[in-house]
Amino acid sequence: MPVVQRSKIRQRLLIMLVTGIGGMAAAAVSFATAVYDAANPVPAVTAAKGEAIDTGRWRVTINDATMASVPPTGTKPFEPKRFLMVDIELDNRSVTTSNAFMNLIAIKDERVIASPKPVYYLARDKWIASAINPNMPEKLIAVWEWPADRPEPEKVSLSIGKQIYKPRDNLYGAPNWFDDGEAAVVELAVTQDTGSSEQ
Amino acid sequence: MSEKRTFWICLLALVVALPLAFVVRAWESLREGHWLATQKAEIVVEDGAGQAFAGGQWKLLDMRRLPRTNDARVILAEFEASPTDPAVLSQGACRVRLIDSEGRRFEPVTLTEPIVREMYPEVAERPRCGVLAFTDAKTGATVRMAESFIVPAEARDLSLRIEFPGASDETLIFK
Amino acid sequence: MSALRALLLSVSAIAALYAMRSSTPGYGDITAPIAVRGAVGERVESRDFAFGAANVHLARQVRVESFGRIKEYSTSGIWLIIEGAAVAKTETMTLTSAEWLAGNGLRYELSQRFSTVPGYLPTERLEPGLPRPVLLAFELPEAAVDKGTLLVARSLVMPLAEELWITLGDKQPTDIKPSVTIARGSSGTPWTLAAR
Repeated sequence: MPVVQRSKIRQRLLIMLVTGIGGMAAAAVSFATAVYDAANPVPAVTAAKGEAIDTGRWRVTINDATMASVPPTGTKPFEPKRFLMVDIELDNRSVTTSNAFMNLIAIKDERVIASPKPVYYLARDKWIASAINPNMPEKLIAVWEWPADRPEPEKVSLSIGKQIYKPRDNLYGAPNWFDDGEAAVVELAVTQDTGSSEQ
Repeated sequence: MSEKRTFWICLLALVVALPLAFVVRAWESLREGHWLATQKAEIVVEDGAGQAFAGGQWKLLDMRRLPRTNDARVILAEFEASPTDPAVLSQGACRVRLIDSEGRRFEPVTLTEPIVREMYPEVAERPRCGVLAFTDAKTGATVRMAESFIVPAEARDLSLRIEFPGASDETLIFK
Repeated sequence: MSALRALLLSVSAIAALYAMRSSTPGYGDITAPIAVRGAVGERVESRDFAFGAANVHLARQVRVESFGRIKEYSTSGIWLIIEGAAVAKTETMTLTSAEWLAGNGLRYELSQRFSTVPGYLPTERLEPGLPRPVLLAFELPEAAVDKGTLLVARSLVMPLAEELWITLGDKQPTDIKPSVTIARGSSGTPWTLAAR
């Protein structure tokens, strides 16, 4: 009788030991990977000009960048201004019409503290773009008003954001799209527009 | 024996704990629903009498019916408030509605209707009920306001309903 | 034997939990608007408002004439233009949400490119009991017209409110016009629509 008792206690102890060590090991591994990831950020993926970038919600292609003094509408601003214009192609891969692309592309430059949001124009009729429909790829022009006190760039780096779909979010269990860091960085040479070709 | 007892106690505790968890989770919603369902106190005023409400003495001056199109009419409601407590009046936000006999709620129009400007130019100049109307109101001085509504020609038994959330929990109704 | 039984039991429990998890409707489904079905050419009623679509046009291009100037709106697909009438029933309101649900499940929102078109649905204030003619326009790929449904609701963010689901039925246009011109109407109608 006492022999049986002792073996049972030993068995229980073993189980506790195994689960305890396993749990501790799991926690340690997860903590260590988190620390490692924070210490060694993954270098941004660079994409080439004209290459389709899959950002989850959108398929983005970045084409040419130009500096010009006239916005795509063709009306010359009252005060002389410089505009950085980037031709892009966008394909909405989600199920609904969306204007979330307006927060997708940003100038990646440490010196530009807060690069203002670009204005998007539709390339086909040079009018301000609204939301983009699914299954209808569109060509757009992103236009940044370039600060007067900064020299005009010869090169520009654009950071393309990423969004992922969650069928159930952590708060309500509602389906939605969420920002998920950077999909790619595109470096472009900026050509100068003499202004005579565009009217 | 003792293991069996623990089992039954746990099962019984579950029977109590589960509904309790539901109630605790839904408590805020239940209270909100109750608050929404309870009728706000209404002060009904008839025959152009004055009435104290939301830090002022209110009075309906006139309710005119003006032509618009074949099936629509413009209702021009003119009312006044003399502040007795300007601090309370300037706290709230005025909300005016017109209710007809079928309970349909009409919101005031934001642009003055041409017919009002044409027939009653001095009324068209009056401020609408809002914070602006009471910014430089003094105790005792009356503030005259006007609101216009667009209603179907067959709308009957119209009453003006003034709410003042922030200053009063009650609703003032002019008949 | 008992170990096998325990294993079988836990496997069936996991299977049952998985089935429950995957069959539970999501938050989006639970709070989705309640569909009220109808067709083009009839008045479709909800508790708060009624809407009827009368004419449906397809066009490659829309020209909007306002104050003597013509603005052309192109599209990479086609324009679907719907003329109809809407009326509020209980209170003053604006119908701010209109979508085209294509047969493959994609949703196309009402085009936001027009700002000066008279009678455009989201800009039209509806007084109870006073029907107003309204205009809707969508940019769609050509294949999305067939088997599509027009969805009209008071607001996109109102859970458990009613939403009208209107099918084209036999009113689906057979031809796509090269261009449709919308101009301000002179008397009675807020706009005139001319197809070319």
